[in-house]
Amino acid sequence: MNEIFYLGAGSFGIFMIGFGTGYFAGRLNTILTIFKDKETQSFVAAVAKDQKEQVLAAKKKVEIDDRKFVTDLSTDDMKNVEEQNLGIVVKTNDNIADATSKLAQLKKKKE
Amino acid sequence: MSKGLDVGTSYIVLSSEDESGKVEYKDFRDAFYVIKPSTPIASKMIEKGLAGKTFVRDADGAFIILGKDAIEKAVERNDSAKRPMFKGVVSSKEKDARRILTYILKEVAGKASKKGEKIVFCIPAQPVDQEDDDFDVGYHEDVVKKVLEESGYEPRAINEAEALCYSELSDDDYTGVALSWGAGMVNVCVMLSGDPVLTFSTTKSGDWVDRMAAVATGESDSLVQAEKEGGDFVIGQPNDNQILAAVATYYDRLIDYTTKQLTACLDGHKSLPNFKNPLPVVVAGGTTQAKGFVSLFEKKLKANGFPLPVKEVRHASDPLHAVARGCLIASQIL
Repeated sequence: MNEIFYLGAGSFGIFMIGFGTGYFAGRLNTILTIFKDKETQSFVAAVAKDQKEQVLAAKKKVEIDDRKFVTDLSTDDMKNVEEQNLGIVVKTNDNIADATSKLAQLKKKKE
Repeated sequence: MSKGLDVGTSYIVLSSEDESGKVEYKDFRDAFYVIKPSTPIASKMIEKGLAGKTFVRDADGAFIILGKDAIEKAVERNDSAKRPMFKGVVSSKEKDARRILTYILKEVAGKASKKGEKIVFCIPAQPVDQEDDDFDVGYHEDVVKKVLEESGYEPRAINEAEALCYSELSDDDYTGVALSWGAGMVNVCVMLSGDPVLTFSTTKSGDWVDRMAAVATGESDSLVQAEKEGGDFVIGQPNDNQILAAVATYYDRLIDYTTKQLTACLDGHKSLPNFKNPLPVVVAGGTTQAKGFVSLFEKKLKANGFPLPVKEVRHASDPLHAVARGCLIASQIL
């Protein structure tokens, strides 16, 4: 009698193990998808947040050029009656060649 | 061939080289004075009186006297001459000022010798002591650029004190500090090996001295300016002439204010490099022509805690032309 009981219980146990394994094997894909989705969701959210911050940061740097437009600066109405030349010419003995070449060398070094 | 142009509140100076490579300058006083005749007879009389003076006739019949003649005429009439520029820039609100600056610039710079001739002009830095809608460096730069382009040039702007560094720091490997004391403002540049690492400006200079002395003595700004430029006074010392005494006192206060601003701006500034050696400090501009200026400036620098090591304080070799000279040097490199 006991042998029949143990045989029955054993078969039932094996059946349950098989059933459980089959169930989990069947659900495994779904469970993995749920985990994956959570990761994906958080990853997508992080990327979106990052992109938003980048866009906002970039947005701050963009400025429209609102410098005042220079309208026509005509001086046709102003007549030089006596045809005078404006300005006094001052001649010097100064030569800027040395200063210019020295500065040019410095600027070249930096490039 | 290329040219340099110092567009200053008080003077416009064009620099160029002659055939032998020597530098020559063309100076013009940046001032005007308008006389509107009330009758045709008055118009003829005024025109007669202006013989030999620099003036133009406007469409409405008004006489616009230009340059130093404008200041003389204003003093004669117990009035003040006008300036096309105020505190280093052309006013974006005054249409007359723009027209007159345009006229003066076109006449002084002349036409380019060939299309696309390079010209470097100077502009002021943003001031540290004033936030004013009328102070618009961008607009000023655009106006000057447009005028020069219309004359056939290829213009480029550099900072005024940077130009001074190019002119005066060649024996110091282009490392040091330069201050351009114009009429409207003081421009400052700290340069390291030819690179302008820091530029800024303050908005009180020679015109401020004139204005304050004019208010104190009840005279016109133009008369104070004429007395200041022709008079004999030493900064900080008493003077029998009340106008010059006031001018000397306000000069002292101006130097004190500017050196305090220098210390406040440079102390702990992130852009400043660690200079290995003490630096030369060069000053130039019409405001520095007063007797005792350089020695008092040096004294005030020390007293007000100037944060950089100073090798010497020196006057530019040609204080009125140094900025234009620097623009000319820049025009051959940039």
